[in-house]
Amino acid sequence: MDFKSLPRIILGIVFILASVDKIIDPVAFAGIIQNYQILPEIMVAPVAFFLPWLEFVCGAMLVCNVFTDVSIVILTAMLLVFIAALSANLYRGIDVACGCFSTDASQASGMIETIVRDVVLLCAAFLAFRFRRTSLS
Amino acid sequence: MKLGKKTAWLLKILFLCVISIGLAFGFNVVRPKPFTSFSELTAQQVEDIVEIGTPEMVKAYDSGVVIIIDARSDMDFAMGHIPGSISIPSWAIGDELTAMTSQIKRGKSIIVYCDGLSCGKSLIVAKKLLEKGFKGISIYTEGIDGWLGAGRDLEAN
Repeated sequence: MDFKSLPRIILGIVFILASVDKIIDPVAFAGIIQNYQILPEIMVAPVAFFLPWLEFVCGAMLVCNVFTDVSIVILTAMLLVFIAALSANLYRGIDVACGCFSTDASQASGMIETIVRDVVLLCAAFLAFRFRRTSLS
Repeated sequence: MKLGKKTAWLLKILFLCVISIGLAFGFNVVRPKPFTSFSELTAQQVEDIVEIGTPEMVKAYDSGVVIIIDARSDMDFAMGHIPGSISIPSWAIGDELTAMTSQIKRGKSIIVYCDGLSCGKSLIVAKKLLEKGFKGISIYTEGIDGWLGAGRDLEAN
Protein backbone atom coordinates (compact mmCIF):
# COMPACT_ATOMS: atom_id res chain seq x y z
CA MET A 1 0.00 0.00 0.00
CA ASP A 2 1.40 3.41 -0.93
CA PHE A 3 0.51 6.86 0.36
CA LYS A 4 -1.61 7.53 -2.72
CA SER A 5 -4.07 4.85 -1.56
CA LEU A 6 -4.56 6.44 1.86
CA PRO A 7 -7.27 9.03 0.95
CA ARG A 8 -9.30 6.31 -0.79
CA ILE A 9 -9.02 3.84 2.09
CA ILE A 10 -9.66 6.47 4.79
CA LEU A 11 -12.71 7.79 2.91
CA GLY A 12 -14.01 4.23 2.49
CA ILE A 13 -13.59 3.38 6.17
CA VAL A 14 -15.21 6.66 7.27
CA PHE A 15 -18.31 5.96 5.18
CA ILE A 16 -18.53 2.33 6.31
CA LEU A 17 -18.36 3.44 9.95
CA ALA A 18 -20.88 6.21 9.30
CA SER A 19 -23.37 3.78 7.81
CA VAL A 20 -23.40 1.16 10.59
CA ASP A 21 -25.59 2.92 13.17
CA LYS A 22 -28.03 4.06 10.49
CA ILE A 23 -28.30 0.55 9.04
CA ILE A 24 -29.04 -0.88 12.47
CA ASP A 25 -31.63 1.78 13.41
CA PRO A 26 -33.35 3.23 10.31
CA VAL A 27 -36.26 4.47 12.45
CA ALA A 28 -33.98 6.81 14.41
CA PHE A 29 -32.29 7.87 11.19
CA ALA A 30 -35.70 8.64 9.66
CA GLY A 31 -36.38 10.87 12.68
CA ILE A 32 -33.14 12.75 12.07
CA ILE A 33 -33.97 13.21 8.37
CA GLN A 34 -37.38 14.58 9.43
CA ASN A 35 -35.66 17.05 11.75
CA TYR A 36 -33.77 18.48 8.78
CA GLN A 37 -37.15 19.52 7.30
CA ILE A 38 -35.77 19.39 3.77
CA LEU A 39 -37.20 16.22 2.23
CA PRO A 40 -40.94 15.77 1.62
CA GLU A 41 -42.51 13.34 4.13
CA ILE A 42 -43.01 10.66 1.48
CA MET A 43 -39.26 10.53 0.76
CA VAL A 44 -38.07 10.25 4.37
CA ALA A 45 -38.57 6.50 4.91
CA PRO A 46 -37.10 5.29 1.56
CA VAL A 47 -34.05 7.53 2.03
CA ALA A 48 -33.60 6.31 5.64
CA PHE A 49 -33.85 2.71 4.39
CA PHE A 50 -31.48 2.88 1.37
CA LEU A 51 -29.01 5.72 1.89
CA PRO A 52 -26.99 4.03 4.67
CA TRP A 53 -26.53 0.97 2.46
CA LEU A 54 -25.38 3.12 -0.45
CA GLU A 55 -22.83 4.69 1.91
CA PHE A 56 -21.74 1.23 3.04
CA VAL A 57 -21.46 -0.19 -0.48
CA CYS A 58 -19.53 2.81 -1.84
CA GLY A 59 -17.26 2.77 1.22
CA ALA A 60 -16.59 -0.95 0.79
CA MET A 61 -15.89 -0.46 -2.93
CA LEU A 62 -13.33 2.21 -2.09
CA VAL A 63 -11.57 0.02 0.47
CA CYS A 64 -11.49 -2.88 -2.03
CA ASN A 65 -10.48 -0.52 -4.88
CA VAL A 66 -13.35 -1.68 -7.08
CA PHE A 67 -15.56 0.79 -9.03
CA THR A 68 -13.46 3.46 -7.34
CA ASP A 69 -14.28 6.34 -9.67
CA VAL A 70 -18.06 5.84 -9.52
CA SER A 71 -17.99 5.32 -5.73
CA ILE A 72 -16.01 8.54 -5.24
CA VAL A 73 -18.46 10.46 -7.44
CA ILE A 74 -21.48 9.10 -5.50
CA LEU A 75 -19.88 9.85 -2.12
CA THR A 76 -18.85 13.32 -3.31
CA ALA A 77 -22.45 13.99 -4.37
CA MET A 78 -23.63 12.84 -0.91
CA LEU A 79 -21.09 15.09 0.83
CA LEU A 80 -22.22 18.07 -1.25
CA VAL A 81 -25.86 17.36 -0.35
CA PHE A 82 -24.95 17.01 3.36
CA ILE A 83 -23.01 20.29 3.29
CA ALA A 84 -25.89 22.06 1.52
CA ALA A 85 -28.46 20.66 3.99
CA LEU A 86 -26.35 21.59 7.04
CA SER A 87 -25.62 25.05 5.64
CA ALA A 88 -29.31 25.63 4.88
CA ASN A 89 -30.27 24.70 8.44
CA LEU A 90 -27.45 26.79 9.88
CA TYR A 91 -28.78 29.74 7.87
CA ARG A 92 -32.36 29.07 9.00
CA GLY A 93 -31.21 28.72 12.62
CA ILE A 94 -32.42 25.13 12.83
CA ASP A 95 -29.96 23.23 15.02
CA VAL A 96 -30.35 19.51 14.27
CA ALA A 97 -28.31 16.45 15.17
CA CYS A 98 -26.36 15.71 11.99
CA GLY A 99 -26.93 11.94 11.99
CA CYS A 100 -23.49 11.46 10.49
CA PHE A 101 -22.07 8.72 12.72
CA SER A 102 -24.83 8.30 15.26
CA THR A 103 -28.61 8.20 15.10
CA ASP A 104 -28.97 9.78 18.55
CA ALA A 105 -31.08 12.86 17.80
CA SER A 106 -30.34 14.39 21.20
CA GLN A 107 -26.59 14.59 20.50
CA ALA A 108 -25.13 18.07 20.28
CA SER A 109 -24.60 18.64 16.60
CA GLY A 110 -21.85 21.27 16.27
CA MET A 111 -23.01 22.13 12.78
CA ILE A 112 -20.02 24.25 11.79
CA GLU A 113 -17.61 21.48 12.88
CA THR A 114 -19.67 19.00 10.88
CA ILE A 115 -19.53 21.19 7.78
CA VAL A 116 -15.75 21.57 8.18
CA ARG A 117 -15.41 17.79 8.57
CA ASP A 118 -17.45 17.23 5.41
CA VAL A 119 -15.24 19.70 3.51
CA VAL A 120 -12.15 17.78 4.70
CA LEU A 121 -13.78 14.57 3.45
CA LEU A 122 -14.47 16.32 0.14
CA CYS A 123 -10.75 17.05 -0.13
CA ALA A 124 -10.00 13.39 0.63
CA ALA A 125 -12.46 12.43 -2.12
CA PHE A 126 -10.70 14.77 -4.54
CA LEU A 127 -7.32 13.23 -3.70
CA ALA A 128 -8.74 9.71 -3.95
CA PHE A 129 -10.14 10.54 -7.41
CA ARG A 130 -6.85 12.12 -8.47
CA PHE A 131 -4.82 9.06 -7.44
CA ARG A 132 -7.36 6.39 -8.39
CA ARG A 133 -6.16 3.19 -10.01
CA THR A 134 -9.05 0.82 -10.12
CA SER A 135 -9.47 -2.68 -11.39
CA LEU A 136 -13.05 -2.39 -12.71
CA SER A 137 -13.40 1.22 -13.79
CA MET B 1 -20.46 -3.81 -28.35
CA LYS B 2 -18.66 -0.74 -27.01
CA LEU B 3 -20.62 1.41 -24.58
CA GLY B 4 -20.30 5.18 -24.53
CA LYS B 5 -18.42 6.61 -21.55
CA LYS B 6 -21.55 8.26 -20.13
CA THR B 7 -23.61 5.08 -20.52
CA ALA B 8 -20.90 3.03 -18.81
CA TRP B 9 -20.84 5.48 -15.89
CA LEU B 10 -24.61 5.45 -15.57
CA LEU B 11 -24.62 1.65 -15.62
CA LYS B 12 -21.99 1.52 -12.89
CA ILE B 13 -23.95 3.99 -10.73
CA LEU B 14 -27.09 1.93 -11.34
CA PHE B 15 -25.19 -1.25 -10.42
CA LEU B 16 -24.08 0.19 -7.06
CA CYS B 17 -27.61 1.45 -6.36
CA VAL B 18 -29.09 -1.97 -7.15
CA ILE B 19 -26.57 -3.68 -4.85
CA SER B 20 -27.46 -1.21 -2.07
CA ILE B 21 -31.20 -1.76 -2.52
CA GLY B 22 -30.66 -5.54 -2.57
CA LEU B 23 -28.61 -5.42 0.64
CA ALA B 24 -31.19 -3.14 2.32
CA PHE B 25 -33.99 -5.60 1.58
CA GLY B 26 -31.79 -8.64 2.36
CA PHE B 27 -30.74 -7.22 5.74
CA ASN B 28 -34.34 -6.32 6.51
CA VAL B 29 -35.32 -9.98 6.14
CA VAL B 30 -32.87 -11.05 8.86
CA ARG B 31 -33.89 -8.30 11.30
CA PRO B 32 -35.57 -9.62 14.48
CA LYS B 33 -38.64 -7.56 13.50
CA PRO B 34 -38.51 -6.88 9.73
CA PHE B 35 -40.22 -3.75 8.43
CA THR B 36 -43.15 -4.64 6.20
CA SER B 37 -43.69 -1.15 4.78
CA PHE B 38 -41.87 2.17 4.58
CA SER B 39 -44.53 3.84 6.70
CA GLU B 40 -43.38 1.73 9.68
CA LEU B 41 -40.12 3.67 9.71
CA THR B 42 -41.85 6.96 10.33
CA ALA B 43 -44.85 5.67 12.24
CA GLN B 44 -43.04 4.18 15.25
CA GLN B 45 -44.59 5.19 18.61
CA VAL B 46 -47.51 6.65 16.67
CA GLU B 47 -49.93 4.12 18.15
CA ASP B 48 -49.94 6.36 21.25
CA ILE B 49 -50.83 9.46 19.23
CA VAL B 50 -54.44 10.13 18.25
CA GLU B 51 -55.39 12.08 15.13
CA ILE B 52 -58.32 14.49 15.41
CA GLY B 53 -60.24 16.61 12.91
CA THR B 54 -61.68 20.12 13.09
CA PRO B 55 -64.96 19.28 14.98
CA GLU B 56 -63.02 17.53 17.79
CA MET B 57 -60.44 20.30 17.83
CA VAL B 58 -63.06 23.04 18.13
CA LYS B 59 -64.87 21.12 20.88
CA ALA B 60 -61.65 20.52 22.81
CA TYR B 61 -60.58 24.16 22.39
CA ASP B 62 -63.91 25.50 23.57
CA SER B 63 -63.82 23.24 26.63
CA GLY B 64 -60.61 25.06 27.63
CA VAL B 65 -59.04 22.00 29.27
CA VAL B 66 -56.46 21.15 26.62
CA ILE B 67 -52.98 22.44 25.97
CA ILE B 68 -52.43 23.38 22.34
CA ILE B 69 -48.96 23.23 20.83
CA ASP B 70 -47.91 24.98 17.61
CA ALA B 71 -45.19 22.90 15.88
CA ARG B 72 -44.35 25.48 13.19
CA SER B 73 -41.41 27.87 13.15
CA ASP B 74 -41.12 30.85 15.52
CA MET B 75 -41.78 33.17 12.59
CA ASP B 76 -44.97 31.37 11.53
CA PHE B 77 -46.11 31.36 15.16
CA ALA B 78 -45.52 35.11 15.48
CA MET B 79 -47.48 35.78 12.31
CA GLY B 80 -50.55 33.93 13.52
CA HIS B 81 -51.43 30.98 15.74
CA ILE B 82 -54.40 29.40 17.43
CA PRO B 83 -55.15 31.66 20.43
CA GLY B 84 -53.54 30.40 23.64
CA SER B 85 -51.24 27.92 21.95
CA ILE B 86 -47.62 27.34 22.97
CA SER B 87 -44.82 27.39 20.39
CA ILE B 88 -42.59 24.31 20.21
CA PRO B 89 -40.97 24.33 16.74
CA SER B 90 -40.25 20.91 15.28
CA TRP B 91 -36.50 21.58 15.17
CA ALA B 92 -36.26 22.02 18.95
CA ILE B 93 -33.97 19.51 20.65
CA GLY B 94 -31.91 19.12 23.83
CA ASP B 95 -32.01 21.86 26.48
CA GLU B 96 -34.09 24.13 24.28
CA LEU B 97 -36.78 21.47 23.96
CA THR B 98 -36.68 20.82 27.72
CA ALA B 99 -37.14 24.54 28.43
CA MET B 100 -40.08 24.71 26.02
CA THR B 101 -41.80 21.61 27.37
CA SER B 102 -41.45 22.91 30.95
CA GLN B 103 -44.35 25.28 30.10
CA ILE B 104 -46.66 22.29 29.62
CA LYS B 105 -48.69 21.23 32.63
CA ARG B 106 -48.48 17.45 32.98
CA GLY B 107 -51.70 15.49 33.20
CA LYS B 108 -53.58 17.65 30.72
CA SER B 109 -54.47 16.54 27.19
CA ILE B 110 -52.22 17.94 24.49
CA ILE B 111 -53.10 18.80 20.90
CA VAL B 112 -50.32 19.51 18.41
CA TYR B 113 -50.89 21.23 15.09
CA CYS B 114 -48.95 22.71 12.18
CA ASP B 115 -50.00 24.08 8.77
CA GLY B 116 -52.34 21.42 7.49
CA LEU B 117 -52.64 17.95 6.00
CA SER B 118 -49.27 17.89 4.22
CA CYS B 119 -47.33 19.18 7.22
CA GLY B 120 -45.35 16.58 9.22
CA LYS B 121 -44.09 18.93 11.94
CA SER B 122 -46.89 18.14 14.39
CA LEU B 123 -45.98 14.45 14.25
CA ILE B 124 -42.32 15.25 14.97
CA VAL B 125 -43.23 17.35 18.01
CA ALA B 126 -45.80 14.79 19.19
CA LYS B 127 -43.10 12.08 19.11
CA LYS B 128 -40.70 14.29 21.05
CA LEU B 129 -43.37 14.93 23.69
CA LEU B 130 -43.98 11.18 23.95
CA GLU B 131 -40.26 10.65 24.49
CA LYS B 132 -40.41 13.26 27.27
CA GLY B 133 -43.10 11.18 28.97
CA PHE B 134 -46.18 13.26 28.13
CA LYS B 135 -49.45 11.37 27.70
CA GLY B 136 -52.79 12.06 26.01
CA ILE B 137 -51.26 13.56 22.87
CA SER B 138 -53.38 14.23 19.77
CA ILE B 139 -52.50 15.68 16.39
CA TYR B 140 -54.87 18.15 14.79
CA THR B 141 -54.27 16.96 11.23
CA GLU B 142 -56.02 19.81 9.41
CA GLY B 143 -53.94 22.36 11.32
CA ILE B 144 -54.14 26.09 10.63
CA ASP B 145 -55.91 25.47 7.30
CA GLY B 146 -58.72 23.55 9.00
CA TRP B 147 -58.95 26.08 11.85
CA LEU B 148 -59.37 29.01 9.45
CA GLY B 149 -61.74 26.92 7.33
CA ALA B 150 -63.97 26.54 10.40
CA GLY B 151 -64.19 30.31 10.61
CA ARG B 152 -61.96 30.59 13.66
CA ASP B 153 -59.53 33.42 14.24
CA LEU B 154 -55.80 33.42 14.78
CA GLU B 155 -53.82 35.40 17.32
CA ALA B 156 -50.62 37.21 16.37
CA ASN B 157 -47.77 38.46 18.53
